[in-house]
Amino acid sequence: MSPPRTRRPRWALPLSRRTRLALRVLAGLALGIALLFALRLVLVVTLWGPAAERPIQGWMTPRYVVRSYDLPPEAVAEVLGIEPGSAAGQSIESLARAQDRPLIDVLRALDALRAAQAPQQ
Amino acid sequence: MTSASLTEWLLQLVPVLGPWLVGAITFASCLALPVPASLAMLVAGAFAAAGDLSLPLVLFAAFSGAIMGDAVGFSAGRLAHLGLARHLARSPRRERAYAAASARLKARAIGTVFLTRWLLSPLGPWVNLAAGATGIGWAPFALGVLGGEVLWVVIYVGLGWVFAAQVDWLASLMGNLVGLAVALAVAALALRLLWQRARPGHRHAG
Repeated sequence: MSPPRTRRPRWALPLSRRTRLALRVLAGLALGIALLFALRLVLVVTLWGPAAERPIQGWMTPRYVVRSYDLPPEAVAEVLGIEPGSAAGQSIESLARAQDRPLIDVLRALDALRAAQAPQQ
Repeated sequence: MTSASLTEWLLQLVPVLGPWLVGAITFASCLALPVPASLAMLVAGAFAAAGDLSLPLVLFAAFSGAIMGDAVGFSAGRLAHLGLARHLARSPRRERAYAAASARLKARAIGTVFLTRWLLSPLGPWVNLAAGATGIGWAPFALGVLGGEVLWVVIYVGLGWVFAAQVDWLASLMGNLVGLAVALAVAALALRLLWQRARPGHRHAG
């Protein structure tokens, strides 16, 4: 994959003075942007931490919630009014709609379940 | 950011449309459309881990979408090649620059295509166009694409599968990592071009 380095590059581009100035500006900008990304990377790793920050949302499925938030499947199924392990591929939103329950109530109930489970871990 | 609502909307469709949506998203991302391909693959991996989606199907769809997107970009570059040749013929200087750029890209086609699939993925669509326009053959292009896209899909879907709870964090982490890699690659390329000209004894001294 690495190119031959011993030969004089035959692909040298003919660069005008203007092009060289543009390349310098480009290199400076790219290095500045690289620095920003590096800082953000450090912040993401140190401050954010790998915690489940996202609140439970309507697009998630019961199994996704069970797995992502480490909740007991039976408890999640009870809150959602379904059989444990059923409703594969169905989002919480569609389950709530099918049962004529407001989505916000269902999400609140799941958040309460999450809060109740948290100290035990 | 305005893309936040688009992301939410797409995430809602992932469990419904499943692998098809993931394939459509990777296809679009290989055409430089601003879709959250990495987050979609991470979430699809998490859904697969939870048992909502089939892992092989998700992998296959994401990979197929990506290589089809690459093929479209490459073909578009090929078409542009014809018009480009006519345009270049009018200026010897432009023609020389183009020939040099082509030679440069051809000399390292497989590596460039491979790296711009996963590590430098935001550059992928532009490399596709350039590869087509500079007349790189199908074989080296396909080799780089196959290897690189397999890695891209396996990394993101695999991370989503393993760390299902941390998809947001992972998306942010990978986004910044790729951004850093792209910025460094662009800086390195610009500096290389400059320093190679500055070397003494090189032709075109004046």
